Amino acid sequence: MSVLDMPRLWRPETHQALFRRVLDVAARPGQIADLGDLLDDRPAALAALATFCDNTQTLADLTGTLSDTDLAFLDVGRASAEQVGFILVAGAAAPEFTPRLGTLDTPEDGATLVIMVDCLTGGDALSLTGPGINGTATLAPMGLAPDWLTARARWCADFPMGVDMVLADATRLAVLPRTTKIGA
Amino acid sequence: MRPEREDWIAALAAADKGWVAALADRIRDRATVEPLAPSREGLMLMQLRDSVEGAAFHLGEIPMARVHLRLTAPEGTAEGGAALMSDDLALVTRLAILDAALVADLPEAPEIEALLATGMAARAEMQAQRALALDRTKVDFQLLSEEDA
Repeated sequence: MSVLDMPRLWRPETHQALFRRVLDVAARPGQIADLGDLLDDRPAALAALATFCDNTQTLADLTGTLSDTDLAFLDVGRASAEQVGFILVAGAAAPEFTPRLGTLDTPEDGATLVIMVDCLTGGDALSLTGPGINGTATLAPMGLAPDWLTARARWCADFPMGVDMVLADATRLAVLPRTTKIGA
Repeated sequence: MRPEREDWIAALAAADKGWVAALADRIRDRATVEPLAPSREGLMLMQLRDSVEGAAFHLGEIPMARVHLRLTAPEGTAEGGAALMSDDLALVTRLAILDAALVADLPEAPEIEALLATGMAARAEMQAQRALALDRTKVDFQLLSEEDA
């Protein structure tokens, strides 16, 4: 028995399982990963950040939902949304910032946006095409302001620069890499 | 008398480890212990400054473990922490529990203070031995005879 049991979300074996599922849906845009069995009632967006972040990364929490303990466990640097590699934001309101897009030499510096939505199903269907999609896939997030899609099109116009998006509801997430084309 | 908090962990680390483990586990079993940051153990670079130029340099790697937690017992709650040059994360966790228990003044506080006293005494003895060993290495060149030189 361990002297101090870590909460499930912060155990290495949980991170490994989360990483596998996030990687799978990142490779297949439009598919949804259900993380419910790994979360212990913590939000899927936090699980995504737990998978991505460590003390070499930077984060801006525009939702204000992360507690001091969450931030301590993420062990991530803090800065403004324009400067960081990861941004946690609510999808209901239009974006009021311009994230890092990377450069032609370092497109990997483009930010990853973790966007909290009401539900990943039941909204207006988005038609997805691009790498990882056999033909066309659909994703119908509910609670994602249309301005996000407009902004994303602008941010990702100069590929390979751009941003990657992770859409998360309470227990599930989907990924929209910058390579994915979104139609109505 | 209770020493300054900054000296608690060093003193407890020098106390009897079996006693430390038994007491910390007894407190943990009747309280709720919640980690507030990921516990870490591993190697870190020890940075020092040279005494001539004041320039920073890395002396080498040292084993290090650190724990930050919150202890909640019926009598009170407190945050505790410990960081030690050690790769024994279980020991450092137990030291953090005792740290929090002493801050919260749990009923076990007198037992922890007794541990602190034995640890302080052990450290004082060790420091005296080191001072003696160091003293033997000092050379007064004025006392060296020509034969010694």
